[in-house]
Parts: sequence; structure tokens; C-alpha cells
Amino acid sequence: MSLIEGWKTLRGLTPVPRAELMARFLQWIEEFTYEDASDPVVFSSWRGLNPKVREGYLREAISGSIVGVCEASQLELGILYGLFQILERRRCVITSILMYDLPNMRKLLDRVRSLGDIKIGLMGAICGAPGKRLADCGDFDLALSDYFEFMGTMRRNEDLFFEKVQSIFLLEGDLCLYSNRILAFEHGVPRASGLVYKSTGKVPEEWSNQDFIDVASRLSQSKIAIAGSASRISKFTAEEINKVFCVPGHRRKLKATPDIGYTAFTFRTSDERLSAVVTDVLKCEGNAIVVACSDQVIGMLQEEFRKSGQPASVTSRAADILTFFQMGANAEPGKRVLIIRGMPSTLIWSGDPICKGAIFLAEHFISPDMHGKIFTVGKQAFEESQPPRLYFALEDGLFEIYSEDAGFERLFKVIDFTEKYDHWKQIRRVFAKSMVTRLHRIRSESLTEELPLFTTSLTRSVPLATGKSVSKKKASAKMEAMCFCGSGKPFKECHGKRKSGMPKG
Amino acid sequence: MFITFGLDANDTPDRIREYVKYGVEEFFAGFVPRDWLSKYGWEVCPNRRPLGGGYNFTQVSELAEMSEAVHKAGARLNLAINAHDNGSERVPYLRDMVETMEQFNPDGYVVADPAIMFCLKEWGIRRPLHISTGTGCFSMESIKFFSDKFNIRRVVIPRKLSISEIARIVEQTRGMNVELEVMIIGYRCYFNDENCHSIHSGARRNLCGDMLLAKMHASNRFPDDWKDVATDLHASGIEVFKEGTRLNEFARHLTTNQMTPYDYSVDLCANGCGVEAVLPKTLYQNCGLCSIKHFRDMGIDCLKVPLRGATDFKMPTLAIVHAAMTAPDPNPDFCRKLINSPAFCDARIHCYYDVPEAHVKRENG
Repeated sequence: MSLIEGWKTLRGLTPVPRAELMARFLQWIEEFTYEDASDPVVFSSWRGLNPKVREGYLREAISGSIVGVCEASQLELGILYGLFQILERRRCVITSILMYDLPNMRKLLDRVRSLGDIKIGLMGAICGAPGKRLADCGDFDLALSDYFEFMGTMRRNEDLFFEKVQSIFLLEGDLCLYSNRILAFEHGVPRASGLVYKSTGKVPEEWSNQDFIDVASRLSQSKIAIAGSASRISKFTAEEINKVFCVPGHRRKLKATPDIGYTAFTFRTSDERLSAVVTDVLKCEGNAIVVACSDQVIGMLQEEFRKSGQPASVTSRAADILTFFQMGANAEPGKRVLIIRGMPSTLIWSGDPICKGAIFLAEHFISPDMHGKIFTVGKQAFEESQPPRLYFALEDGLFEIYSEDAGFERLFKVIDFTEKYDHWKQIRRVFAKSMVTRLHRIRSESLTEELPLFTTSLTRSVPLATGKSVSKKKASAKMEAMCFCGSGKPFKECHGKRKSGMPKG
Repeated sequence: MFITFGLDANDTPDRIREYVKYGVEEFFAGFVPRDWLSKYGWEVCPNRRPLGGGYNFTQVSELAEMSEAVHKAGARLNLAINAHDNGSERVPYLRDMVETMEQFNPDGYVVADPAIMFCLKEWGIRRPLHISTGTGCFSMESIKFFSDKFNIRRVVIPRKLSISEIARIVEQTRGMNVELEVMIIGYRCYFNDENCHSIHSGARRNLCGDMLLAKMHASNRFPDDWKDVATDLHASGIEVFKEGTRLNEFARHLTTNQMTPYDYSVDLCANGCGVEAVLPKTLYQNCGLCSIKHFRDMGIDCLKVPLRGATDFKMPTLAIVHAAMTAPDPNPDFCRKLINSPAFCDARIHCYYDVPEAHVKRENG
């Protein structure tokens, strides 16, 4: 029986017990994913996994869990999950916050289309379909979507959303449900998103304001089949998501992936920190990726690299990593260094690592989960990649906020931890870990539902008309939380601030 | 006669198949990794278009996908590295780019800088070269010069030559085994491309274009906070139509800071006949449809439809060029019907080439 005939037979089956359908589906995908075993892109990551492991991933996903898959391709898992949903006569939307490599995504979808009777929809810029929405996808069987666009539809047009969407697969599900759990809207358009560092369960009254949406809570109340994947999930984040999203008896609890065990170094000043990053990058074997989030730190890093004589390029586009390390043999014959602004994407890699190298974290990201994702990118890009090293400075913008707003100094004396480390490297590490742990604890105490922390700003030049009038009072009230940039100011007074009203000339 | 068509990172394999249906036998594209930005800045582009996905391919995987799609569709792909000149510090990076592009078997390179032609030779690249319009092959002698030195497959004829001058070059190059290509629509240089070295990769548009069109920007008259005013208007509704509101201040600013309107010098009003000229002007900028018949008769091989970076305009533009190219007699009347804007066609400023018979009727009338 040919592959397509096999698929048609599966689709034509009268309702059978799920276990039987699953067994036949698993048998079929062994042929489907091996149709062109030499293809370096399509299902290559899936084929590279141990058969028992990959079967376990798929079974877990189908049972409604968010599966930790480390470096494996989450999009491939999502597509297979989507095919199973189609067999169960449900439409499936695969949604992501991180960028794909679009050519690879299209190749994967072409393979699915080759089955003949599957209608595929794409929406949002992440999927190469800017301006397309759920309503434009018609009667799709499988759709790929930008998370913000997708959840924007849930906010704007709930009837359409729950009519069209019968199952959801969240790629890097923890980033969706935790790091971007709260979406703030203006005129029906997502403007910013944020996280609640540690939920207490006491939801403030203002959350009932129409301009906010708590995605995790809203999805947990729905009857849509929801599953997902993540490269790595920390224990803390898994617990937080379970608190809000996993209703006992309705959704399976998330499991944390093993700790990545990265090394942390704490420095008193940002200058000390950055010169240590540059020194260590120069010492490391092979190429290097340095990840940082603030423009200020990136500018200082560039300057440090320039002084050291090592060229370093900066990008904020996830897919640039692959191109960067594939080139440069003539222009930069030695070490190549790429500084990445913000979170790199774990969804762009499909093949083997291409060179030796290491990944460095020049700043502490908001959620510990993000460090796990960055580690995953290092493992995908580099052969024999070591866990990343975190370089943390007490001048960190967020740290200042804790110092000012949360009385950080009262909890322990910062300077004690930074004076001795020159000769006591081991102690320095212990202290550094202690600092990071303390930081984590302070965040847990202060960043509750009362103070969500913005992680992403989604400003668009043209607001979409919804016909609903929003008062000025409401529009400004929603941006009270701290800005994502770590400046310590409310979002509305920092990156959310409008330009001055001064006329030109 | 066939069409060569500009691709950018917004083009997908599906679109490439559509373009081929409209008579495109050959594509050209640029590849500039974003790493280039970090090294040399956005001001300098190796192919005279703004950097970024809207105009150039930026990823190796995109280049691979496009190359595969073009070849699968039975067309050819040429890669553009046609900056007028390239500083010596950029040459190693250009070599990296060429070596990367070589993995995908391009059918040729479009070049303008003679130094790069020598570099390609030195790097062992034997693929045919297309001499870009930027080189300035105004005469038979220059074509002969390049053909003697390099493996030249095609020459793109400078846009400022008249139809009779082009006919002379065609006549003189017969038997030389060199194809000739002419630009036919959009992107006509305001000055003289070959002798102008102004930066061609501005963030918004080319420096020369910005200079000429700056007066036309309506936003020049707006205060900086006009978006806020618009948002307030949207949010608050009727109550902003009062004294003391920002909308009122905005209106006062406009009335007290009046600027002289831009002088178009030509009548762009349709007067109820066809579409308003501003629309085809926006869509096509400049048009040479009426000259296609002349080019076909004299034996021009290829029509160039550039449009890298104009995603939405690509298909309608390609469709009219294809219609004129395949028509048995694409005379001015036929071409004017395709454009459907007499006001646009009557203003000679929009014409790519001077085709006297296209204007006879109006002038006589």
C-alpha cells in the first residue's frame, strides 16, 4: 500500500478506539517520515531520534502534555500531532512565539500537502503570511500561526476562534503559557505581553479589565485539545504553568526537563562583566555566540570586542545564526563571534551542528527557562557544546529595581560577594549561584499577579479598527507594569511612551 | 523575447511558479547576509538595493530554496553583485558571498564593477556574466571591450539611450554572441545611473529619489504627534471636535504652517477617463510598454522587470508586460488600454523611452 493510500485508509476509518488508531498511525508515520531518508531537512531531526524516544514524545503530546524534547525539531512533532488530530477529525493550529526558518517550514508543509487532501493555513509574519488571519484560512485542516496573532483572534473574535480551532499545539509552550501569559491589547491589537513571575492565585480586580487577557487561564477553561512542546522547561516554570493551566483531571501536568547546570559568574560592575565575557570568548575553542537582551549591554560588548581586535557581528534575527556560521572563511578566517539581541529561536535548526563553539550569556534573562532555550540553541549550532556560562553584573538594570523597590540591600550585603573572587574561583562560583538564587527568590516575592513583568512589546504603526471605543483612562491604565527593558520605569513611561507632541521645525 | 524578473525574500516557490506562467524565463536576485550590515553598515550594498528581506535574500536556506524553485520551474537564475564599485576591504566578504552562492549553481552573475569581473576570474568563477546597466555600455566599443576580456553572455543597455541608439547597438552586435537586455518598466533612474554614484541602498528609498520627492511627503506638514492625535480620535470619538483638544491644535498647526504644494507640472487628472494618473504612477513609476514592439522588431532578447522590494506590485506589473510582449501588435493604442490612464500616458515624464507615435494623437488633437 502506498503512503497516500495508507493515509487515506487511516482517514477513512470509522471511529475506532484511540489506542488502535494510534498504533496504526505510528506504523504509518514510520513510512511517512522515511519517505526520503536522505532529505537533510524534512523529518531529519525526527529520524535522528531513538525510535522509542520519539514515539514517547508523540504519545505524550497526544495525551495532552507539553513535552520537553531538548534539541529535537518541535515543528516536526507538531506536524505529526496535527496529522493525528486530523485523523480524529479535529482542526489543529500549531502556534509559536519564536521564528521558524521559513524555507524549511515550507518544505515540511509541502510534504504534508503531498498527502493530497490536507488544507493548510498560514497566519502571521512568523509563518511568512503577514496580514493573514484565522478568518483568511478558510476550512483548514492544519494551520501554522503566530502566537500573538492567534491569541489576538481569541480576544477579538471569540466565536470565530472557538468555532474554528479544535486543537492547539504550542511550540515552546512554556514561552506561550508562562513568559507571554498576559497579553495587553489596545483597540483589539496585542501591544505587549508579559509574565507573572510567581502566581499566588489571587487575581487582582483590574484583570477583569477587557484590555488584558490571561492566555493560560483562558485556555485552561476551554475544551480545546491542547498540547505542546518545549526544548527545556525548568522545574519552577513547570510548576507555575501547572498552577494556572493544568486543571486536575482535565490536563496533564507538565514535567520539568533535567537541569542544564550552567555556570554563573557575578561581577560588581558591567564593565568587569563584559571584559570577562570577551576574555572567555577569545579563550574558547571554535566560534562563539553571545546572547544579551539590552541595547546598552550589546553596545558595550561590541566596543569590548572592537578593542580586543576580535570582529563581532550583531543580529536580532534568529535565522541569521545558520547563515553566519556557514560563511566567513575568507573575510574572517579565525574565530567568528555573533552577538544575538534577545532570545534566539530554537525552531530554526533542522540539520546537524556545523562547527565547534560555545554560547555565552552576557545577561541574566527574566525567566530561568530562557537560559534553557539558549542552551538548546548552543547544542543545535555547535558540536560538543558545553552549557552556557552566565555573566551577571550587580549593575544589572533589574537588580537595581530590586535594590530600590524590594529593599535588596536589607536581605544581604552585596559587596561581600564580589570582593574575594579573584583568588577563590570556586567560591566565586558558589557566591554567584547564591546571588542568582537570591535574585530568583526576590522575583518570586515581588513579581506576583499584582506586578506582571512585560517581556515583549508589540507595537504596530497602524491600529486595527474594532469599532469599540476605549477610554484614555483604560488605555493608559494597562501599561502600569514595569517595562520589559529593566529600566525600572512603568512600561507606559519607558518603551510604551509616546513621542513628544512638539511639532517639526 | 523573454522577461527577466527580480526576486526578493518575500517571493515563495509558489509565486515563482506563477511568474514563470507570465513569460519569465529568467530571474535575478541579490544575496546579502545581515552580517554585512554589522560590518559595512546599511549604506553600502553590493547590489544597489536596500539591505534586508524586502529586497535581498539574507539567509543561505532562502537562497537554496529559491534556486531550487527557479530551476524546478525550468527557469534560470542570475545573482546580482552589481554595485558600481567595491572597496578593497569588502572583497574578501564578497568572495565568501560568491562561494556561498556557487553552491546553488546560479546560471550567471550580474556585475557592474570591472574590478569584480577580474576578481571572479581570479576566484575561478567561469559562469557567464551579465554586464549591468551600471557599467554604462553606451557603445559597441565598450561591449567589445568586455566581451574580449570576460565570459559575457548579456549586456543590459543603459536606460538613457533612445530607441534609435539601441537599434544601432543591436545592429552592430549581430554575430557577436552577446544577448541584449533592456529595462522596460519601473525604477527609471532620475539622473544617469551609470555616472551617478549616490548611495542606492537607503533605508527608505534611494538618496536621489528622496531628494526629489521629499516635497511630496504629506507627513512633512504634520506635527510629530499626529499618530497620537489619530489614535485619540479613534478612541474618543465625537468629543474631540471641540476647542482645546489635540485635534483642534493639530488642525491649527496645519492651517498656520501651510507649505507650497508640490508642482507636478503635468496634469495627472483623469477627468473621468480611465484611472487617475497617480495610481499607475505609484504602481509602475515609469513605463516603456509602447517601445516593446520596436525592441521585438529590432531583435532585443530580453525585457527586464526589476521590482525587487515591490512585492505587491510585482504581479500586476508582470501581467501587463507579458500582455504587451505576447501581443501580435502591441501598438501604443493597445498599450494605453493596458494602462487605462490617458492622463498617465499623456505625460511624457512617465515614458521610459521616447516613442513619438504614442503621443501623436494627443498633440494633433
